[in-house]
Amino acid sequence: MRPSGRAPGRCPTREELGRGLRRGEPHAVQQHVQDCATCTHEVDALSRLGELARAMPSPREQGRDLEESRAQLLALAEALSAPHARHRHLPRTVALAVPLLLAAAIALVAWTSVSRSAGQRLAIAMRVVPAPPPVARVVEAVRRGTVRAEPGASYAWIGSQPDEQVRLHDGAVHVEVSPLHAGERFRVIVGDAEVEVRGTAFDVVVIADRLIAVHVSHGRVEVRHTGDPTVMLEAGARWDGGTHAVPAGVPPIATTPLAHLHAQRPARGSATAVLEPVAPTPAGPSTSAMERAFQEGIGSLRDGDPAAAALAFQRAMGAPSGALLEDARFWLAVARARNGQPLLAIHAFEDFLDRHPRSLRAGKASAMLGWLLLHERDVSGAERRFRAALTDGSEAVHASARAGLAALPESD
Amino acid sequence: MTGKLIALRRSAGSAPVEMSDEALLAACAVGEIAALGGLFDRHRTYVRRFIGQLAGSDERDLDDLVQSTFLELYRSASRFRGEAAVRSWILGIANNVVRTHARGAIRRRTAMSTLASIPETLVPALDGPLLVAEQMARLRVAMGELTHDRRVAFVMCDVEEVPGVEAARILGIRPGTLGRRLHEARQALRAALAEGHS
Repeated sequence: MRPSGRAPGRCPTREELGRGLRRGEPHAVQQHVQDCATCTHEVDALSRLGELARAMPSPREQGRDLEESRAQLLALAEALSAPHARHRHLPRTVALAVPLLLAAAIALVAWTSVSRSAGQRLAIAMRVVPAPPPVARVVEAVRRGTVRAEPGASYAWIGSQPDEQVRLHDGAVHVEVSPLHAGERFRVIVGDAEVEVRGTAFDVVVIADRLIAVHVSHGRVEVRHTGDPTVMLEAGARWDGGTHAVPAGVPPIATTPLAHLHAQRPARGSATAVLEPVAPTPAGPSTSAMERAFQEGIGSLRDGDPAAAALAFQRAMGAPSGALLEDARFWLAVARARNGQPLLAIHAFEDFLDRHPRSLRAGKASAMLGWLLLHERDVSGAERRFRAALTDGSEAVHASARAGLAALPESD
Repeated sequence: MTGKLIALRRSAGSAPVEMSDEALLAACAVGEIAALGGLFDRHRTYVRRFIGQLAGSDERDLDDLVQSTFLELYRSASRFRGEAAVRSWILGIANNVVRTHARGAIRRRTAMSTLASIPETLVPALDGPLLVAEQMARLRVAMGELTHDRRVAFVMCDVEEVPGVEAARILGIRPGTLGRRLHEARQALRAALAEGHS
């Protein structure tokens, strides 16, 4: 039962209150709090801070990486395993050998990975690997590139050094490539394009086997898109599929039935046979079908299933024009953000803002896009979007944009 | 003890679940790798959350820091004196690892990593205000602005709920100092949240 009045005697200061409430420290303050409504309120406020912090989402973690992390940790510890007690008494020359042992252990783990990869390469070639390769740090030692895939991305390593190739079918990946030596290549292959790099970090977004966007963080990237001249992108540059001619025979994105694609795909996290390009839909579905798809997407979002929602909104984007199409574009971006796909969400929000700059949701979309860009370390892009959001009439959007501007890191 | 050690070796990296944390730590002190695996399995989640809140949530750094913490635990196991719970002691090691790490190149990235999960939480709900999500976002940013000492006081005491006296001992400071840091951290965080309401 909560206290209803003020307890007799002086209320403790906030500092005293906090000190008296730390676990394991019985204190007269605790007795006072039980009888004092004012202090109880204060204690609730203090407790809420901890509860709020505990409820904050932790960075995502993938089960497969866990096993690799554990194995790597034990291998490193093994290298240190000249027992600790004895180690303190070892001659200095022997003690100096420990780092060498450590390096040897890392090399052993790396070699093991290579051996295993080599052994499995034939088996995994042309299979979809929906998660990034495990233990990026170790893989870096044997591959020039590392890939971080967004959830749901479908890609596979189909080539190894000296010509590393990643086949990306759908989704978004962030790629980092260490400087290549003479004769070495690193390429991302898409159904209608090829992106070749020379020691860089970049994002590639693909939908239904079509290249949608490339953004270069640093270094240089060469984009060879079917039907377009080869383009060299410098750091900070962006290639946007929307500004390029769509090759004949390829359906526009809005009518590409991603649901059809996903119907062939097993649950996330399992490998499967490579997905074939999706055939164009013979005839466009009716507007009422689009409306139903949109409502289905809203329902999925409400049910906490953003992946299903994104698919539904994608279908709804088959609508010819008007409010439904605008809504579908906006909520597709939201669904992708909620699904933990920032790169795809960025593309979707940019697409929405490009096509509907006067939308009532433009400010909100700008603020959300700002946060996503900040997340992806595009500080100048984020700042631009936050400033655009400041023109919105909503106080919530304003507050978010102000918080975003305040959160921008100072330039070096 | 020897018999147990042999059994651990034969368990190929998985320590029997019934062994206490203290026993596993003692096994680590004599070089038992499997015992380290057992401690990793038991405490990794807490350590990951703790480091995430101290150092931001950049996955690239987080996993390295977790690994460094457990390696340091393995190296330092013989120094455990049983004056605190093993979990609290491990959090103390994690704090040292993070503090050392923060002096390096990561510092610049930390400001960004504190924001890593904000986009998803800021995506508007279909109905109703975004109060909790926004409060979390504000709290995360405000935590990132605290000094390391205040942040670790808050995370250790209010988030991980390590008893104050134990936390002070692990951090090597007087309980009064911890209390002051905790108070200052709470004040700053409450002010940041209150600002959001005004």
